[in-house]
Amino acid sequence: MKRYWWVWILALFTLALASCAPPKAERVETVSIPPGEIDPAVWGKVYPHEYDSFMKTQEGGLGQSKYNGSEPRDKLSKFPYQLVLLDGWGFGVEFNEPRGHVNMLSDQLDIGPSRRKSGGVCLTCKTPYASQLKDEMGVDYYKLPYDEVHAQIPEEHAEQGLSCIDCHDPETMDLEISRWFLNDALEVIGKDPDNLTRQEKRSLVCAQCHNTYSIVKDEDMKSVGIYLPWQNSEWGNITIENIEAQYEADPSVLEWTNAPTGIKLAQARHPEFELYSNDSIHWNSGVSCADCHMPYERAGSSKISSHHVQSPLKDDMKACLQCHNQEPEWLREQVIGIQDRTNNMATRAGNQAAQAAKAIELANETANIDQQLLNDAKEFYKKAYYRIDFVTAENSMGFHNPPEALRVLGDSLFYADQSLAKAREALIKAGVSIPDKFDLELEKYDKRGSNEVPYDPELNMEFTFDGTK
Amino acid sequence: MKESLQDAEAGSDMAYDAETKGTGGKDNKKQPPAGKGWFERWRPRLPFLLGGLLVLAVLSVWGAKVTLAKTDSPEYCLSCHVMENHYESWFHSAHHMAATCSDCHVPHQNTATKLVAKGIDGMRDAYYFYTNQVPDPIQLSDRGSKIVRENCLRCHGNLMEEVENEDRDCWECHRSVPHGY
Repeated sequence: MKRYWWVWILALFTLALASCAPPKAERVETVSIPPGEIDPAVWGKVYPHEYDSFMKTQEGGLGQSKYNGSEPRDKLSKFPYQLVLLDGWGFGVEFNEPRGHVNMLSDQLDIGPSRRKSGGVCLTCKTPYASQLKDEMGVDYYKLPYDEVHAQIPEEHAEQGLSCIDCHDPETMDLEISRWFLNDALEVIGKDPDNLTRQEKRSLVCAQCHNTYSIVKDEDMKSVGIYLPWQNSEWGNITIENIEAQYEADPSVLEWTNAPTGIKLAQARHPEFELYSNDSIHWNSGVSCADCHMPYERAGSSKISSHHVQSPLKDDMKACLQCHNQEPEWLREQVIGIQDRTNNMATRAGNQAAQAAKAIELANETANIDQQLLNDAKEFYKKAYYRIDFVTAENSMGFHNPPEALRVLGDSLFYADQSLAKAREALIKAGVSIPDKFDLELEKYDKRGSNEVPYDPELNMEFTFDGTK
Repeated sequence: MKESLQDAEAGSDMAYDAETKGTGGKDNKKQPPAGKGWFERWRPRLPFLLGGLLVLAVLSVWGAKVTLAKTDSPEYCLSCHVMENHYESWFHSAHHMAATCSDCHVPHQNTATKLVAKGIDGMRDAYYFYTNQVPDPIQLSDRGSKIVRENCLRCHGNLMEEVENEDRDCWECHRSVPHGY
């Protein structure tokens, strides 16, 4: 053993080095965050800068944004074709642009009751208690009336919107996914939810709610579950075609019936993650949601990720300037340019689909109509609707993925055209005289629901480059 | 030990077959037949020697490569926690996509310069760290400034072709690039 004296020296030296390492400087924590703490104010005592910026999300307003901002404008008056497309359920009654994270639950309580008709399931992305309630109540959580499930939330948090715990682990402050259905969906697309990089999580914590989800209905049209329709997709390639295939495969997610056409439909809701992660230029460059919506900024003597989550347009393009060295005004023009082009296409496709809906409505009322032609018209209408919905329910007016948004809208215009052609053919064949253009009868959408939401043509933001519609 | 002796005895009749049968390597104690040259004496062990050398070569090349790659990663720099704020600031910056710590803080004229400088800086960092002498705030030395400037220009040189930039450091103006801590 004497020959190995140098091993001992080496071991001793290593040990000495290890014990010499200076202690890590820890921040002084005057208070600690109890496990499972919901109240953001308690977290705010440990992270005051983050908390202050988070509370700014209640400021709202349009700012320098053109289409969305955080101003709760009536989306249906902005794009009147939606009044026809969404006619038949809550979305067609009251559909406002969203405000900030702080307001999300109080806004849901303020809106007309038709938008809470699906039951407790509506709380899934609106209260930090969602996972807890679902675990305690089982299927009743989805099924019972909204007010009954909402009453289970402790009174002091009855209007508590987003909370820190929705995205963070209170002990390590690491990002953590709290919504069960996103973990399930990640597994479905072959992504291990326990093995995500930090940069991926900086998008996925947002994707917990900023996705398109489907509510599962039983035979009595009661809500019994929720899932993301990603079954035919993979990481980085969740398309409307793949989602549509799932709608076709699982009729239990056909949540509503469009009134004019009588077609039973599924609904794509704010598919921000789906559109963005599908080959967009920023996604492919490794940019996360937080990079643009929560830019790193100086706060006091340190730097934090801003928790004032909002459109970068509203912050004078500061987040963009991190990579793009142009003037803010120039950058803004690029964004608005993309959004105007998307709006142009959405206006075309939306109005054409509304025309198709009106033609189908008339065909439905006509005796001796050619059922084959009418069915074809309805099938095309469905395809057109899903595509318009996919882009217009998304909250960036195409900016999150401009070429994909325009591709999808182009396809939807094609299908809307086909649908209208078939419906007109059926009507002519039945001897009905039809106008060149159907009247959308928008005046009947004035004073909608119990809140009597008016149809306000002043808000109209439909747009085409040549001014026709 | 006992086993190998038995092996040696068992194999004694076929000492010259050892090269093909591959058992000769354990045959340490065996006396080679008299009157043979050194090559003949070592011949049975040749495959093992060559094999050993090959393994050593692969290990050292691969090992060095792995070590170099590891010590080039930002997470390695972060492992001395004094760099945490710098790491965080860089992680949130646009340079995150394009440049890691060593892209800017190690000279890149050629591999030799890079390795020597990396070795010197690494040893110095370790010394300051383990003797608890890391200054706060950490500031670039004159030599370090020169290296970073050269590396800024390594990527942004074209942009700076017609700009007089000898009299100041880039980060005197671009204070938050890439880690404004």
